[in-house]
Amino acid sequence: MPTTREREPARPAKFSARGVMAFFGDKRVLHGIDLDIPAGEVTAIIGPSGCGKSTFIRCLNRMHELIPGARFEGTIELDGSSIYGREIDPVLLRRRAGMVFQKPNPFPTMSIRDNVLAGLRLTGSLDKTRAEEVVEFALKSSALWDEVKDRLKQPGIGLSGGQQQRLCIARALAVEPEVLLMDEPCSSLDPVATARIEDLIHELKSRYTIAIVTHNMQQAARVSGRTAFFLQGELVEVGATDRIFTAPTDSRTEDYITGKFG
Amino acid sequence: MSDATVRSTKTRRGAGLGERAIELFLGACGVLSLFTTAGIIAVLAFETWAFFREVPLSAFFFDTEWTPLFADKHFGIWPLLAGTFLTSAIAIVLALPAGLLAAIYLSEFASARMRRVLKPALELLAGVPTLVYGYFALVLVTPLLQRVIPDLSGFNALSSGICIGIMIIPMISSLSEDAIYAVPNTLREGAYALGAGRLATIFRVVLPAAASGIAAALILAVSRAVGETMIVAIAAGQQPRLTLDPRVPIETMTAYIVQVSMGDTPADTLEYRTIFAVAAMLFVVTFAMNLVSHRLARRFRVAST
Repeated sequence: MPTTREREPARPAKFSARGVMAFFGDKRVLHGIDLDIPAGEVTAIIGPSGCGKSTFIRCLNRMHELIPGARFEGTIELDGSSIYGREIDPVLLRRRAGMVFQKPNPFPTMSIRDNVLAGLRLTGSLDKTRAEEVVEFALKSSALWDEVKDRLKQPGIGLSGGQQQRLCIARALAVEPEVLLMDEPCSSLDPVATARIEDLIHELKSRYTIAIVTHNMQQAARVSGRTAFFLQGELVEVGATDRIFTAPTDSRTEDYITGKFG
Repeated sequence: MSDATVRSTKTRRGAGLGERAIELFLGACGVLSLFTTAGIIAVLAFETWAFFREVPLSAFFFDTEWTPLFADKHFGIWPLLAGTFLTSAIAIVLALPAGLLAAIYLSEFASARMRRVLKPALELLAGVPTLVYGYFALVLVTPLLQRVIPDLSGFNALSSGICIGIMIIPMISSLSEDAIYAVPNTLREGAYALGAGRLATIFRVVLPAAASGIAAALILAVSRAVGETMIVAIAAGQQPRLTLDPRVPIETMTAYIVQVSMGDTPADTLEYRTIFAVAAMLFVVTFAMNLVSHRLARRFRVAST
């Protein structure tokens, strides 16, 4: 019986990536990634800077291809159907997989309320009679409601960094995605704001499939059920977070999590 | 030890003297523009004051005729203001959409190669001498328009306005493009990640974020259109007329100043002083717009950081 090999994840795969290669111009930054993101669970992707972890999750919602000169090879399936098929509209895909970025990026010309509704407005799918309901739902889901409910008309950029990031999470949740892709969402936040976002991830994981990129190993250990370790564009190891941090099978994983490099 | 200290202090002092001289010279260069502006304002104010000693303010602002060169003299500024407003408005109506769309295309759609060709080509428009635009309006645009609008006069506000518009397109497009370019890419990514299409992203996220920069560009362009002289002097006519009809000859503030200062009006007469009163008016209008534009541009810089 293989003890060091990971058993298949109990949950079905939401995203299933096979042979994913990503390029910037002629430079290949991902060298064939096979990785499943199981449904209804938090998957953390860790690794040193430049290992391709951000590029990988940007392939999941096809944001990678927006960069001039960027290219993708391989297959990624969402719920069993390819997202890179010719008939797939990346715009519709992105509504199913929301994204939160490294630096909070609320729209500076919009109020808190309008920021939350931005996704629905920009896609022309806002039902005006449901607007208040959506705003309240999204802000409550992102644990921001109590702090901003009395100043929804004020500009979103007037909030603190941590609040802005939760506003961006609310904005992503308002379009009712199935997946939340988080690209180092706490890298520009202080420890208190980081803790709030991590609490929030715990609350959200029952409702959404979450993939979070982080360079902070403690964070990965705190929030995720599964962890994938990337190094120089390759997936070194993936498995239950507990096991990755206590009994990694690959020496490179061990060197990284024990702080020998990175 | 004291010897060395003294010597080193001396050299420092020598260097300080040279530095001070250079500093003074540079300062003088900087102050030169300040003095020029002050000089212009002083001359304008002095002559305008002399003008208003003879003509009451009420005659200037409440009369609706401008005939200072005729026997029956009227000094109402409104016909000249209307002429300037008309040509500038036509110019802006043409140049704002054209310039803005060009800026959007250049910053959001054009390939790097297209940009390399288009941007200098567009900026070349701004380098064409305005005299050329004036002839262009008079001998090409007006005759062409007359085929469509039969009762268009040989001199008219329409073709001058169109040519001023063409002239200021590069100004609007270039400054707007800077403003659009300065919008952080994270905002575009934020919009795309929400499932927004390209047009929605540009028109509802990027343009609003660049709005104050675009407004600053617009106001600078308006003030350029208001001050434009050669095109209107050649192609718009010399008939101060209180009208908003773009088909008939009119006269703008600038064209009037050209007419009088190039003509045989003797200096130190009331007729001659009228051009300073008009110039003061023009100065106030463009100065006010430049102030607003500065303020907007500053707000825009704050917003984009």
